[in-house]
Amino acid sequence: MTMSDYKWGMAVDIDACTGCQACVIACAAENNLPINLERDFTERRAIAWIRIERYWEGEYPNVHAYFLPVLCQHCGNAPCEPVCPVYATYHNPAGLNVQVYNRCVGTRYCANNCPYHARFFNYRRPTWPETFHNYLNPDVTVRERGIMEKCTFCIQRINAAVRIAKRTGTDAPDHFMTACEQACPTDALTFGNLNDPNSRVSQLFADESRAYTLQEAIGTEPNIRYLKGVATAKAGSDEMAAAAH
Amino acid sequence: MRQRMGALPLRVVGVLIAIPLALIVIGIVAFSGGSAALGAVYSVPENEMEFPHDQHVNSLAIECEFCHRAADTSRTATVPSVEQCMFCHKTVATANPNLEPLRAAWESGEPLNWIRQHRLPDHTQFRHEPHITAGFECTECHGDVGSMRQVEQVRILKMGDCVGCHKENSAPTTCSTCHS
Repeated sequence: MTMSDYKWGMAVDIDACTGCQACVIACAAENNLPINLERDFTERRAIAWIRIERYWEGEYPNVHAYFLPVLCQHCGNAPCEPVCPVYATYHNPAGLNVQVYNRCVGTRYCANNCPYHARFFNYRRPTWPETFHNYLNPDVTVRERGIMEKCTFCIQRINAAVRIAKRTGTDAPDHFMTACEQACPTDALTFGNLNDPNSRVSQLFADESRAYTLQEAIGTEPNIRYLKGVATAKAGSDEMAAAAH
Repeated sequence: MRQRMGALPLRVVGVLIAIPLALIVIGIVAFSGGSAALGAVYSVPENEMEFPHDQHVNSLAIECEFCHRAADTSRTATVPSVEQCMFCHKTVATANPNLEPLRAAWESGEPLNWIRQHRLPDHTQFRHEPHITAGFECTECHGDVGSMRQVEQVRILKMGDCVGCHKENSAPTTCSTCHS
């Protein structure tokens, strides 16, 4: 199997997500993300390829929290791609939206055009404490100041798995998980090959009653689908009040 | 006055001819040597001790993978450890004065600081393993190491070089193959 035999996608089960943020940490560790300091947050320049958006419903004590993990949606019809003047972001044969760091000149048009706020610009040269230097992942490029970065679906793991699959004549998804999926304690994230109708992710995608995409109306055709279906007690309702006491 | 005006352009023309001629001569001299050409382009840093590849590869006929053990399984071909050297040199050439730094490293437990001789452009993810798996000989990129006393980079190993070879062998040329 070659790279183009795969089409990568992810299903995010919102009913299972507890908002623990293990995926956020795992992603940062795997992909050499800089450490966000207070200053980065206040200036809105923090970099997190995956983030947990938290929504509250109701008034205390009758509240309900909803967690929504948001990462690059790897859109089939990606708004970030046509605006890049140097073709630094493109679609690879496996359906991934790839950022080529060498080509990026830092116009930030792509981030402006991304409806999911999934792209992050390196306003500063990323630095790590001395003790972290041997923790950087050698398979992932350390991004310089002045270029854009975003979730790659752990392309270094994908490439490694495809190589192993090619050598052993097996199927690549058997050999890897993305960092966020691996870290998720409730299996809310499921990554896999959408070209294989028997893969778990394909089956989750086909679940008409639960699967939806973010901002479907704008027609970006994401490779990530969210699953939501379990009816929760409505905030402020009698059931909710009973549960709180 | 008229003569002087004429003489000046002639001199300029002479210089203009001389510069490309000199460059061509330098080019011929540099590129006729093959490995010497890149040796001039990329300066070769000196190691703290000499490792004669010609002696190990040609005279002793040791396979590359005997020392560069992980070439077929990993990202790097791996520079052998002191232990790997001492596997033979505990009993071979024990009195050779050239091996003094090696024995000192073995005694002290400190590694030898071998200096990388091959340079790839930044932001490139090169892996040895898929190339070896695809059946390429080491000499394809590294040249005839067996006849080099000090290893030098013989191929330019820039993107054009890589992409040209990938196209010839119908290997993937999508950006994410090497840049991620």
